[in-house]
Amino acid sequence: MVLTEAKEGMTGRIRSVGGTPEYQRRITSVGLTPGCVFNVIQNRTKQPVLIYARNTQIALDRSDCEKIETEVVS
Amino acid sequence: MSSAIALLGQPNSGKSTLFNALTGAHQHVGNWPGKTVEKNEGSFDYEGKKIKVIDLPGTYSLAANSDEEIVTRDYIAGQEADTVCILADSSQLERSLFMLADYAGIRVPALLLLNMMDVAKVQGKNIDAKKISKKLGISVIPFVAQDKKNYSEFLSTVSAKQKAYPDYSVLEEEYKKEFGETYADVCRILPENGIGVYSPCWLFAKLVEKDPVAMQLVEDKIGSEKYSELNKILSGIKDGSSRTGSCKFAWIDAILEGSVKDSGSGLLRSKFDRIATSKRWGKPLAIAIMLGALILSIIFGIPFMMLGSYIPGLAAPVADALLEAGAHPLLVTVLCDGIWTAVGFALAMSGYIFGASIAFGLLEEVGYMARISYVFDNTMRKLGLHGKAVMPFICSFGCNIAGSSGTRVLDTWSQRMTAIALSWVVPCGSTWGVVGLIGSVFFGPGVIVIILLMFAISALHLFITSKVFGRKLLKPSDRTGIIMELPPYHKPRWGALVKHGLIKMKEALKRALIVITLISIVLSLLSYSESGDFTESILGRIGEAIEPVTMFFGLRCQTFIAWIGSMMAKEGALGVLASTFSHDSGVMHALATMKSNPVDNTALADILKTALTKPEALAFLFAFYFNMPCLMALSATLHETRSKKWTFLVAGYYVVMSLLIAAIVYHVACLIF
Repeated sequence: MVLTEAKEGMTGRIRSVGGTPEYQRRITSVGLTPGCVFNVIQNRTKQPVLIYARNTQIALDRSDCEKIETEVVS
Repeated sequence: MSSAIALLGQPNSGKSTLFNALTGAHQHVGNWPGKTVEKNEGSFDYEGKKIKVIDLPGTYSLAANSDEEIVTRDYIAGQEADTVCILADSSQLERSLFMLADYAGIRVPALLLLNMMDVAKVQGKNIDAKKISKKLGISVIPFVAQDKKNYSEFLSTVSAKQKAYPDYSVLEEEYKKEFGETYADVCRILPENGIGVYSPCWLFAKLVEKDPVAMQLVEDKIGSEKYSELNKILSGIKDGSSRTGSCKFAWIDAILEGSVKDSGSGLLRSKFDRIATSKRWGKPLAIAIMLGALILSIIFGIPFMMLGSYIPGLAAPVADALLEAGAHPLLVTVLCDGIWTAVGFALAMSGYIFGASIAFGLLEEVGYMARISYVFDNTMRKLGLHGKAVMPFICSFGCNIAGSSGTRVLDTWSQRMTAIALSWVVPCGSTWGVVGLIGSVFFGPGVIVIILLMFAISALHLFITSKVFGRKLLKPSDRTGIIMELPPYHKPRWGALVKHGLIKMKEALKRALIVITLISIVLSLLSYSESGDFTESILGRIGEAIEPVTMFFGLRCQTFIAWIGSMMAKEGALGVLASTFSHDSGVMHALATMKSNPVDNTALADILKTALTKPEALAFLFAFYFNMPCLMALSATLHETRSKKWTFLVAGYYVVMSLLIAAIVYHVACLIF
């Protein structure tokens, strides 16, 4: 599932990051790469998605989040 | 021989704290050549040696995504610094070591500072610097930048010249694992020893990341024939940045393995942070806090503003003295009315800049600014920008100069230019003053209706402007969505904030003085007449001659000149009106008296009421409100964007729009009143 579909409070893992090379460079530099485990802090319409990964709280644009494939970590 | 060190680290890694602690008063702020990126240099003495310090811009990586990153990379590659001190935040060690991972492969001596060790300890993390140092082959120092007493290990290490750069062999293995044969294929084409300080391993990563600057560098070095061979291999690689990113973090994990014991829990969000990011309360809270910051800006700036408004008051006695001494009246006009007034204006304006950079710097420093960007992201997206662009709009309510320098937080030049172009719609504090005064003279409490109407038109204006300039300026690739760290809340460092405010103020004052002095000389010359009657001056005659044209926009000779005068300084409009209607002195003199003695508004009100009809007053108010900001803001924009073409294009657009809006308002109002 893509990141916008992730439920608040969920712990997930990034499977892949799509988008342009520019986008990938930017998102990699804040620590989000395939394999990275994260918590969904806040995911509401009309607000960026808020996640917690690698000890950092990060806000991500909603439409960009559709390029991020994730899976649930149980 | 003197030595030099560079400080490298991600935003919020404590770089500036270290820089300020090391250099104290011995620092210099400038710009990197050809770029609107602040360059902070300083120096300190250690055991009789002078060590130069460069504070590199805070960036998340060494990719060529922005000017900041390019500047940083070029500086390191230029080997001007003997040692690069890489700072990492120990409380977010894994992520903040990404800078080190992106550096690995550059063969410039480095050392690693594990900053914020105290915070990490509180979080329950135990970090073994010696183990990390062993794996990296460079000095690794546990550090607390706030605590100057603990600098001895750092100082002795940095003053003894470092020779080692981070060992990247394990990272190289990760690349080989991830990319297989491709790694060897690419390295075969690259020069065996890399290019300069860049090792083949580093170049490989940048090439698969499709880093345009690195690609150009390689093409220039190996020639187009070999490069096209290389390109063939590279074009087969998808998602390069994600994959090298995974390798870099795998490398970081390998380094941290066995060196870090973490008994802490995950993120603990405070109640405040929940409210600050909530959908319902986030915006009201942000607006309240920003209003507070605006008020605070004015309070901080008051000493300078008072000084600024006091200066024009001294003009009259000086002028009298000069005239008595037999100086030519024209010279006295230029000196006292022109330059003297200019200094006062410039000082008052820069006083606000001082206040604003402290107040808004404070919001940034404590970590709240990121929350404001977060809650306004959706609003800014409608203008083709993202949440980080909200700052220039808020600052502009105080002063558009502060607004334009607030755009530095944005990623690309086109986002910056667009944000400035749009933030010009926001009326500054002085604009509000004039609108309130003249509006209430003519319409009493009805001025509220006018202000609401102005708001509505502003919203429309913003929308139209974003379409007009957004199409040309913001290509789809520039419309990047927000990727932003929400840092933990910090205590502010007041000393650094005040210092930064003073630097900003000096910058603004210098620019303002030049621009405003030139303009006021011209204006005082043009409005000079021997009898002191404005209508006999050059400006007065021109104004009267073109009145038939300007009346189409509802502007009489006097209000038209006031409209032009307001481009110099917004509150200047009042002064110009006073002088042109009362026929008693030059325009510049009026500007001066308005500043020092704004009490005589009742007299101005009476004159205005008899001289102008309601539609004419409305036309002036709207033309004034929607006009471009003052010339000081224009020059600040020029300085920030380094584009004459776009700055003047936008300025011209605003001038035309303001006249257009005035014309519509005037003709509609003529039907009503």
